[in-house]
This record gives sequence, C-alpha cells and structure tokens, in this order.
Amino acid sequence: MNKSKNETDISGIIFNAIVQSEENPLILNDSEKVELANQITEICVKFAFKKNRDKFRKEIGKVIAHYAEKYEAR
Amino acid sequence: MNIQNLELTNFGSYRGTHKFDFSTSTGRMGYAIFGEIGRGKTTLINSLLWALYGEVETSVELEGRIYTKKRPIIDSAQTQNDFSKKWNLPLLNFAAYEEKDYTMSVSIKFEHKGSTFHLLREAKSRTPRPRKNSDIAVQPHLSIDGRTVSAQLIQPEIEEIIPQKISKFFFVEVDSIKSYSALLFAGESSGGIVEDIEAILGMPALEHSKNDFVWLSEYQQKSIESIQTTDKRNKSILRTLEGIDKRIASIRTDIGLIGKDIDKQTKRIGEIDLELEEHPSAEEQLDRLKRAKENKSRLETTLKDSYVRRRSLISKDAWKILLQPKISHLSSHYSELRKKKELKSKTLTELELSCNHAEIEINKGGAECKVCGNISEGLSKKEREAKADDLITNRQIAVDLKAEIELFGTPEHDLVSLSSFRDSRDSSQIETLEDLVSRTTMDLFDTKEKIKLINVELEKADVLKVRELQAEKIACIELRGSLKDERKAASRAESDAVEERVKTASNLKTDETATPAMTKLTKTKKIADWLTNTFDKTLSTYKKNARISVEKLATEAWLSMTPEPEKYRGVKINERWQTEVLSSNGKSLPIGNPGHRQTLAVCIFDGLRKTSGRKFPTFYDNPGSNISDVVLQKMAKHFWDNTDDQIVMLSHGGGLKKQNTMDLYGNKLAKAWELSYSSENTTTSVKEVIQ
Repeated sequence: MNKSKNETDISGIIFNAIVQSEENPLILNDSEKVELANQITEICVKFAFKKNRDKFRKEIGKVIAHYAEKYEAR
Repeated sequence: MNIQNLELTNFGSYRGTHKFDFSTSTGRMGYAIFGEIGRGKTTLINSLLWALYGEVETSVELEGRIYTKKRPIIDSAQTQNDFSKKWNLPLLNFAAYEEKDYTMSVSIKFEHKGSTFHLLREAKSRTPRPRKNSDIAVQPHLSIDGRTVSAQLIQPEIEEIIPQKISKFFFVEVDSIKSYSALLFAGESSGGIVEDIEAILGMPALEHSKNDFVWLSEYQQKSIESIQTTDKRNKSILRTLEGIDKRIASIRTDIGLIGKDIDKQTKRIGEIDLELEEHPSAEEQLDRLKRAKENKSRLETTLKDSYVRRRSLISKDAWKILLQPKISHLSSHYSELRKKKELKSKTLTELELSCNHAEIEINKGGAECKVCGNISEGLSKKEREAKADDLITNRQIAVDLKAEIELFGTPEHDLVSLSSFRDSRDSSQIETLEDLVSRTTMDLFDTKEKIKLINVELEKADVLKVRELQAEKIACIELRGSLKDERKAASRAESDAVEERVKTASNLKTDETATPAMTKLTKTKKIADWLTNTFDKTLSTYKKNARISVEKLATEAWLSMTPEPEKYRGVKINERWQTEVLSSNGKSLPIGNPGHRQTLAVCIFDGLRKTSGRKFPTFYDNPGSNISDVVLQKMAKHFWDNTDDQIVMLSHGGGLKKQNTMDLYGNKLAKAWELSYSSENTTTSVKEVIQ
C-alpha cells in the first residue's frame, strides 16, 4: 500500500503517514484509505508554498466534509 | 525536468537569437559553459529565471546595506544611453534598443514527467518608441504535449515543477553560496536560511497543512459551540469561552509579533556577521592590540615589582655595599703587610742561622756552617773576638727584627677574615633582579613598539565601524534572548488558556434537536484532529530523516571533493542546520578558509537537492571564487559522474579551465559551449566546443 519507500520524498511521506495511521477515526477499507490519502496529499503538496491559505482550507475542508458525511466514525 | 533546448532573443548581452541545444543521444547529463567575466554566463541563468517566473532580481551593496531590485526590461536611461548611475540594468539588449528592435523573448523546451513542455515568454513594445518599462507588455505561453495552457494556469504549472522560493538551490551562484556559508558557520543560523532549507525539503507541505488542520478543528469546535448556545445554561459558559478566546487571540498576536522581532534580530545578527567578515584585519588588529596591551601591563608590573624588590635588598645590605671600597683597600693593605712580614721573617731566619754558625765558630773553632754547609777553618783569637763583636751586633739586629715582625701583627689572618666578610654579602639576588629588570625593560620597549605599529595598522582599518558592529551584535543577541524568554512565557500562557478553554467547553450541554449536524461537525473535527496529530508526528520524524539524509549526501560530496579525504570523517548537521566538519578522529574542525566554506556550502546544496527528490537541472555559476583548482576539478567530477539530472557548470578562466576540463571530462559531458564577445561589439557570441 506504500506509495513511496523514499524516506525524504514529501508526497510519499504524507501518503504513507495517512494510509498507515492506526488512529484514523473513520472506518475505511484499504482502497478507500488510499483514495483519501491521495486526495489529501495532492492538496497539501499543491498548496505547500501558498501564503494565502483560504483555497487550501476550502479544498481540504470539502474532502474532509465528504468523508465525514459518507463514512462511519469509530 | 530535462531541458531540451533554450533560445534567447535580445536578452541582456545576447543580441539577436541564440540557441543552446541540450538534447543528446549519449545519455550524458553534464554540461559546461566557458566564458570570461561579462560574456553572458549569468545572463543565461537570468534568462531561464525570467522565462520561468517573469522577473529577474539583482542586488547591490551600498553603504554597507544590500539592496535588491527587479530588473526592468527597458529603462528611461536607455533613451539617453546613460547607465553611469544604474546598477539594476534593463534586460533588453542595448544594441537592439538602439536599432529599434524592441522584442525580447526566451523559449525553453523541456521534458517533465513524460510530457513535453514548451514555455515561451516574450516582451513586446506597446508603442512605436518605448521610453519606460510600462511601455512593454510581457506575455507567457505554455503548451504541454502540444496543448495550450490558459494564461492564468501557466504560473501554477511552473510553480508545481519548481517553486520560485526554492529555485536558488538549482540556480546556484557565488553570492548565494557566500551568504549561505557565512550564515551557516557564524553560529547564528538565520531564520530565513532555515526556512529556505525546509522549503526545498518540502516541509511547508506538512507544516502549513498541519496549521490549517488546527484551524479547521477550532472552526468545527466553534460551530459545535454555536449549536450548544440554544441551551440557556450554556450562556454563561459561552461568555467565559468568549473571554478565553479573546485572551488566546491576543496571546497569539503577541507571539506572532515577538516572533517577527526575533526574526528581525536574527536577520540583523546575520547581516552584522557578514559585515564583520569584511573587516577581518580590523578585528584581528584589535585582538592583537588587546593582547599587546595586556602584555605591556604585565611587563610594567614585573618591572615595578623588580625595582621595589631591588630597592629593599639594597637598603638591607647598604652598609655592606658602602664598606666595599674600604674592604678592597684594607685587603690590598693586608696583602702588602703580609708580604713585608714574610720578607722580614725570612731575613730573621737567615740572621739567626748565621748567628748560630758564628757562635760555634767562636766557641769551637772550625765548625760546620748551618747555612752553607762548609766547615770553616779554626779561627785565631783576634778573629774570634771580631766574630764575637759581630755576633753581639747581629743578635741585637735579630731582636730588633723580631720586634719589628711582631708589630706587623697577623695580616694573613686579617686577610682571610676580610675575604669571608666580603663574601658574606648576598649579591646574587640583586644580580638576578638586575638581569630581570634589564630583560623586562627590553621586552617592554619591544611591546611599546609593537603597540605603535598596531595602532598605525588600526588607523587604516575601520575600527570604529567594527566596534559599533560588535556592540550592536551584542545588543541584538541580548534583545533576542529576552524576546525568546518573552515568547516562551507567552507560549506557556497560550497552552494554559487553551487547556482552560477545553475544560470550560466540556461543561456545555448539547441540544438534542441538533444531533445530525452535531454528529457531522464532531466527525469533521475528529478527522481534523487526527490529521493534525498525524502531520505533527510525521513532521518531526521527517525533519530528522531529512537531516540525516542531507548529512550523508553532503559527507559523500565533501569526501569526493576534498584533496585529502582520509583527514575527515564527514559533515555533521545539527537540528538548527548548523554544519561542522569532523576530522578522522571525530573532532570538530574549524572551517575558517573561505574556499572550504564555499565547498562545504556546495556540498550541503547538493545534499539538499538530492534529498528533496526534485528532478530539475542544476546550474552552478562559478561555484566558489575561493575554491582551489584541484577542488574545482574534483567538484566537476562529482557532479558529472553518474548524475541523473542535468548539471550545468558555468565557469570563467579563473575557475574551470576550458582545455583542462575538456581533456579531463570531455568524455563525461553531453555538450559544452564557449561564450565570447563578437569582434565588432560587446554582444555575446555562442560557440559549441567540439570534443
């Protein structure tokens, strides 16, 4: 399930951290976990250097809200 | 990203269109560009930056401050052809402007993640005769695999490939190496440098996101609380929460302001260190002067002590010293007396023997003389009578002589006593002191002369400036220290307030009617909190791993570039990104040599670039004005051997020599070019170097 084995590739690091986390509050299967990790990683890397954080908050907020609505919490 | 070709038109010193074809079928990724100063090497790098970001910055140091400006495309000075007072020169080629050719463009074709990109940025005049920069319109064009990208998406596309903030790690020039190495080794790593390092390592993706997850969680919490307001019992709790929120906001503002002040002080300390580096002789002279003055003071104290001790010794034995001439006189007198006494004693002995002989002769006739051993003949009566008379006289003379000898007393004993008295005077201490005084006086004279010389040197150096800077640096460090304490206290207050808020909020009662919305908000908050914790943990692990990776790669680079790798264990980087070099036995080595510093900075750049995993060509514009030829050659080998990314080294005659480099590394290079001035004017002419 690891996207990257490189310990210093930032996309791989974010992806792995989300996928491998045992504290994920949502009940997700492996492919759902990968999908969530991919979406979050993409947004985090895309907005890494943006000083204005409004767009990031809006986009990440949408992803989180979607998952909160669709999936059960532990 | 791999550049396939680059085309410049009327950019800087490049009049007309010039092409650099980077494509090659050899698979080699090393490139070299040779050219003396001012022939267009840096302009080439600037053209790439302009094509990517639409701006080129230049800086100058005026009256001790560094000023940075964006370079215009044209300047009003161009109309008068007077650039005597300009340092941010326009980008449009001067000759092109003169010849009314106002078009400037840079085109880059490159391959990135399997797609072919074509980026063109062009500047055109809006008027027939442009006189100011606003008369020029700049338009970027980008196509990916032949599809045109809309204008507003061009910069985000480029930022995704190579963010402008980290471009300095790929377009490396002498000033950035110098400022980086100076800050890195001054022991006061600037916040700016650390920020840049963390940027290239991608940490903002974790750090900024984490902060936004915190914001998201707090936002959900407030939404939850707003639902809870329906319950009357919650109102007083909410008022309390409002008060705590205001307090937290105010503390956070304070923390932010203090942080800015700390950064300001850190930046100023860095600037001062750089300024101080420019006055090494003054600093050194001040240090020497301080040491010489300390030495002078020590010598003066020794001299003073020696004088005091000598005076004390002299006064204690003064009577002995005063008697010295008398003792000498007495000594020679006694010596003379002793000689006279010995002479008289000898005469007396002879006289007594003669008297004894005469007595025997008188009494017995012939007798053996005790003096001469002769046996005299028997004497007549008359002769005996005459001898008897002589004997009486001689006996009397002997008695007189004895009396006379007795009058001499005992000069031999007196002489011995006098000698022992004279020797009893302890002169050795005074002599040692005299010696010390004489040596100290000489040393003092030398030291005073040295101080005079240093003062002459100091008159030449800008001592006042150095002292001012040192005093300012101390003040900045102290102020920063107290600001840090202030920030710590504020952070503690913030944690306390947040904790208080959580406790207070836990007393709120939920309105049962709002359950579905509340469930969603609670779930969203849980996800935000989970992401906050996950990113927080990941950030600390990643920071450590990235640092270890940079350390390892910088060590590899350092050992491959240094002429004596056996002397070193490697490069060590601490949590604040301060760097040191370790000797083979693990001791930290001072890196005072500017060439070493620049080499080390290049190694760190290399480590950062590789650790970041970013695929982008790297341009080294004269890396290391102070680096020796041997190290430069090793550096070229390090970069050009087995590289997966394009590495372009630009060098003038003082750096990598064309012939030597081509002889040594020609077979590793994909392409090499030589830049020169055309025979007619000072515009760049490009020629590919044939291997």
